[in-house]
Amino acid sequence: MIQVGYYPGCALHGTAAEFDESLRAVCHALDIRLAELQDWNCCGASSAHSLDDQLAVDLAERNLRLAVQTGPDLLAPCAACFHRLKTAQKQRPGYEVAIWHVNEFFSRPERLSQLRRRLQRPLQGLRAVPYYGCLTQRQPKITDAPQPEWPTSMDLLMEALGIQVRRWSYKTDCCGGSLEVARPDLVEHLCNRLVRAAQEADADCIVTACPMCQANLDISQAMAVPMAQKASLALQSEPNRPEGTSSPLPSPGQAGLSNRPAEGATTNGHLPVFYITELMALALGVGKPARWWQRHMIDPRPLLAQKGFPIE
Amino acid sequence: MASLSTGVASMPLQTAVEKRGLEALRRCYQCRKCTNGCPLTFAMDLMPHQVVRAVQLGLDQEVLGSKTIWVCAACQTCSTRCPNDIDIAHLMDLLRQENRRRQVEPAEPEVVLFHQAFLGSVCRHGRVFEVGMLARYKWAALWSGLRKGRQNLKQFAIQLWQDARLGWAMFRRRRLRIWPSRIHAKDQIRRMGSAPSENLSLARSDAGGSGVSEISGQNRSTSSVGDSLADDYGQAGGTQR
Repeated sequence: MIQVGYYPGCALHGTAAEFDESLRAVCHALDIRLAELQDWNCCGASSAHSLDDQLAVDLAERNLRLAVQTGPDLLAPCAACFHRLKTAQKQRPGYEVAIWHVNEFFSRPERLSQLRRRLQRPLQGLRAVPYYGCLTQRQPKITDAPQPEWPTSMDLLMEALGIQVRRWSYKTDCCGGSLEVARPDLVEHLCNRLVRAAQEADADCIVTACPMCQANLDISQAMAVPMAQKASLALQSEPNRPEGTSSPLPSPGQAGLSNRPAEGATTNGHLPVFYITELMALALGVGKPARWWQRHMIDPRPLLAQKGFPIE
Repeated sequence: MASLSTGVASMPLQTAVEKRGLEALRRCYQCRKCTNGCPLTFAMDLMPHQVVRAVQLGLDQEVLGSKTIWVCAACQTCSTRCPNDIDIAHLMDLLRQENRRRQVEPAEPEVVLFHQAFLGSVCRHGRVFEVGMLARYKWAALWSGLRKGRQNLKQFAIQLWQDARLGWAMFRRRRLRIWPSRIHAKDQIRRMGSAPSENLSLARSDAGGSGVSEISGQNRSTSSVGDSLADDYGQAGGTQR
């Protein structure tokens, strides 16, 4: 049993609670005790560094002070928190604590072999693309990422779980991050491109370890449904349309853009977006996955059922 | 030439950003690697390499009034790939901060309102309370849009409907907390918000008090965009204390 300091961050206490719950379940199964920092505060995310450099570092630094009291290792699963904490550590040296992100933490050789030993149910048959996003990798000066343009830590984890990792070149492309609130149109554009690329890579789902990436990809697909409806409405209102021509507007997320025939109406061409820890917990047979699936905007249960995994 | 705005602005933008750690800016030889890697150029009016050049040329007003500085998602691709080690993502941060400091009308007022709502929530609770933050942001954004004629009542209604739909979908899936998660040491966070940092010192000196009212003070003194939000903060700050 080892103890690791734990900084969940606001997202894991709110919109990404399934990331928190699945991570706790996985750590419990792997004999890792998570010691949540006492009275931690928000890291400031992208808003603080946009408006006030000093506030951004002050907010993160308070958590570093707490982390040093808790132990030599700190696990910060949220990519934005990880980035802010690492930034504060580089700018205000003297906090002797190793800040870990989920992918790097679990993909160390000893953890991987431990994971393989405890595997209850390999996720054979699941085809997925690993999506790392920006802030766990860039800039390497801050994140200490060994391969910022082509990270492989989550690939290793996914392979250890038995997942078929699909190659794609969008591993570290941006989802738009916090622009989701003020300019959802931009985020939709970026996410549509990612989802389309994942479909072209012949993936069933996208796997990530960042709450913002998960939310943006999940929400943009779920909210794209009215776009499809809008397109069909527009077609209906076109009276002079020559007969026999098909829709010129394949909506994003529809199977028309994929090489593969539509995988049944159940998933509607959408790709579920998993946290890596959810899949780890599923493969380890721990936690309460049924509760997590309910929280997804794109319901992953049809896909899991189709692949023969229990969903209850 | 109106390269310097009225009020606080005193030094050229290039000097201001160089003083804050971006001396490398001078090394740019316009290779455009930043622009080629940027995922958001489709929504920008100045490309990232043009921003660097414009700062060098002293086109301060054009830079500070651009969409680019607000549309940047801080993905850090430009900084990672720059062969001259210019931290362009940090340059964007500094330009956003200079935009607020010099009271230049932001080209993307909604983005500013979001950041202010986010930090207001952090100062109020010590952590972000999404529902409260989003409600305040939405209200401020809709109100400022209506007032400035960026939006009419019909668009207002459509947007409200879409937000309600998304909100309900997320609420139904228990993705939104109903109550804020508050920390005990809120006073520490407010003190941080009110520490005299170089960037917001002017706004802060005439506001005084907690972090909550600091940010509202900043809004009040900077632009009309933030007025309604500032009032919200003012009230919230009052009830908190």
